[in-house]
Amino acid sequence: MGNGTGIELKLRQSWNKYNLYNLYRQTGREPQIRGTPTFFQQKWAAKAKTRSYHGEHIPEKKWVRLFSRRLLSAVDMPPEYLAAHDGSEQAAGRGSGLTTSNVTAETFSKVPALSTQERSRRRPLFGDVNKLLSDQFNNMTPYMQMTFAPLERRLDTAVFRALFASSVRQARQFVIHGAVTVNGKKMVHPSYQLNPGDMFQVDIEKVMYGTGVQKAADAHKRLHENLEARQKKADKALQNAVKKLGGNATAEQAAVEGETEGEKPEAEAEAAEGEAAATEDAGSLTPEAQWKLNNRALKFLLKDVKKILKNNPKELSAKEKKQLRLFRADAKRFLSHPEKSEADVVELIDELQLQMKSHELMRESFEKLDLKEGQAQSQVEDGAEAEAIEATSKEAEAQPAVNREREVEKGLEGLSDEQKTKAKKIIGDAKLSKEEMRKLARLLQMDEENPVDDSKPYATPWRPRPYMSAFAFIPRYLEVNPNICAAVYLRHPVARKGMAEVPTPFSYLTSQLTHNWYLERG
Amino acid sequence: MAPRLSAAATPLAPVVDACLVQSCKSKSAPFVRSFSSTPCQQKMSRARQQMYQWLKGREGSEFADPKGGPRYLGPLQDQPFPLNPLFRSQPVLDEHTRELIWDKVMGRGESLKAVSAEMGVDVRRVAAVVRLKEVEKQWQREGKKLATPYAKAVMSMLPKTYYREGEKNLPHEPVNEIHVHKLTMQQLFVPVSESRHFTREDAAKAFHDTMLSVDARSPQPELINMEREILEGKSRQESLAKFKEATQKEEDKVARRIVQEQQREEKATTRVTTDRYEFRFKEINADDVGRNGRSRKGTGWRYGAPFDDRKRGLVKIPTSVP
Repeated sequence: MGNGTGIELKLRQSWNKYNLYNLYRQTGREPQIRGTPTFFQQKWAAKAKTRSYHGEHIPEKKWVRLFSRRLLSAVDMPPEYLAAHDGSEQAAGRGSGLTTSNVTAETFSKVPALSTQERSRRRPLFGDVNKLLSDQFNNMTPYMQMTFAPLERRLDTAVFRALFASSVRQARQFVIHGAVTVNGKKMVHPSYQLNPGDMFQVDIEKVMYGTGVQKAADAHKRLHENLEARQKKADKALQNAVKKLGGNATAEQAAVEGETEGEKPEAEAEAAEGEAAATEDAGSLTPEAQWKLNNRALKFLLKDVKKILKNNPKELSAKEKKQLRLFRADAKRFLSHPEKSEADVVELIDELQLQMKSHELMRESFEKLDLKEGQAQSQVEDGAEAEAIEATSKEAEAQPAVNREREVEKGLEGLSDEQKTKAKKIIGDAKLSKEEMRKLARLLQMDEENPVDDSKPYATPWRPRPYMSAFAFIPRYLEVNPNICAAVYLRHPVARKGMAEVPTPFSYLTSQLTHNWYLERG
Repeated sequence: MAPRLSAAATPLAPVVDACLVQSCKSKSAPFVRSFSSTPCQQKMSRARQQMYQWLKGREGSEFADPKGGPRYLGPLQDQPFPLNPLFRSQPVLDEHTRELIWDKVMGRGESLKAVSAEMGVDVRRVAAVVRLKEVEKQWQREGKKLATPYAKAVMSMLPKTYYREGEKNLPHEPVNEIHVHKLTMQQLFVPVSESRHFTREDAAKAFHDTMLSVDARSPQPELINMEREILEGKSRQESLAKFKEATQKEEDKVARRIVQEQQREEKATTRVTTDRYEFRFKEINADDVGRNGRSRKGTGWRYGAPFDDRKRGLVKIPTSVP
């Protein structure tokens, strides 16, 4: 009413941007009084305005039945005050018109006061009726703002207030679709009146859908393209490596390689299987050739990761995040997990670590070839020690690793010095320090928490929808645990000195007129 | 059924053909057809333009992608609605504080009231936090995935209270809040002699004979007693220990009562397990139905007594969920 365009602007219980803009430009303000609107007209306008926000999906008849003229409020009575005074000091000396003490319960209160710090100062609107009242706000209990308190008891409104849905209508849909439980029992009535102590819980998938960014049609097309390209590249690199090594190898191994080549077309169709086959083939190579193959694969794997690990894990760019995801897919392939497997991050990292460790031990064996026998022994012990520190539980696995290292040492005895130096040069790129490994694990864990998943109905990785922060507040009558998307309705909303708990975008004057309308006293 | 298109509109066949052609041309594109036959406006209206100007401007873009920390529309820092300074976004307990509350209650076995008094959190909230945390822990044990990204995003948008153990902390909320009773909302004029010691109890009596005073309605009477003892000259530590003991004792009593209740219930029922069901038999008293046979306490349906649970006009929505 009265915005000049002839269109009735309404505020809604919703997080959308139109609503945000309407809130910003103070759509719900009391209009400047022109002419002589009657009290009835003012009340009507106020009621229409407030009802379009508070339960516009509820028929008027039902709301009228819910309306209660008994507005709840509470007073803070600090125990210190109640212990120190029995209340008689309030009356003392009043008879003679004296005020002998200024002791009140409020002076004992330690609860932090509401902020009075202004963020921005906007030019006050001309003829702002609300301004006249606002001076007294800090000293009164705003009962009128509690007019719509009975609606806050409704299940759908509570779900919305607990930030589990982006609008009341969505919350209502969640309830009707059976995604909400009250005290562990499915509740399909959005108008269920919560009782103090009731716990309601919303399906987390629904919450993520309601509060997350909407899914675009081909959001992860690029990522999938990249993944495919990467897989091809990895296959090619492996093929090349095998071919190269085949040149040095004996005829026997060449035959094995031939088999590998033969398998390749199949491997491209089913990458994981092919990869496994390739590694198996590599197993039949000499230890040296196997090591080289492994080295190549590791180098390829860790190419981008090294760069990522140098940065702050909290401030990864979109590209780096993508690289991390690609790395994960690669690592799965490298460790010959099936592509679709739901491998745990911890598992993945552990395996990778084991791989690297055995790789590292092989490197040490190269170095040892230059050194004397005794020193080599001590290094083996060092390696064992490092392992013991890193994970005591893996001691059983460490033993075969050491065994393998001995085997490798035996196999590499025939290597020339030239080859050894070359190998050492390569190794530098194919290892991660313990610290880097830990960091990588953390990064992958973070990615695991919020993964890319096309099967979800919302954009993944999950992000809060735009403009959510302006609406993010949880009133005190709810206790919310966002981790499990559950909340407890502690008590009915109350008014206190200087503040009412019912979230309403309207000024005191508007609420007052509305309350008067529903009192039905002319 | 007649086609929805009017006779004046283009005949159906070419439209269908066109659609077919289109669908053949691009398999990926869904079947697109607008619902409205009115042409969309060529120009954006001025109001719409202004809206986008604001949304894309400095202020609007701040809301679109927040930099961390709460950010509201209102002129005051914690005011979400610009027109209503009487509603503020009050801080919530942060993750660590909730974990600490759970640990204090479930791990160290402190009483709810003691935790409430120490941390400045309402007793009901303490209980709720513990209850919700328990569910969370259960989920973790079961290996159910939590809504971690959502929780992180939400907690970063909300103002929070932090509680650090062993430091001086501000209370989260008043722990001893008293509801304003309906009877006390009237103004009374009670003539009393000047010499009379007119206390809170007397004031309550003046409102109504059965009205209780604030002290009696307090959720933390032990805390008031503690403060009283301190004022009388006892040391804080001593009376705090006494307070903790008293609250502990009270809670133990409640727990014992619940256990007893369960035991009594168990004793009264006979369980017979078959391969499909577990039958539970209880002794009932036929006189429980009362004189007119309609008492709520009665068991089962009585012949001739109307059973209203499916009647038209009666509300079927449950009023409580046990």
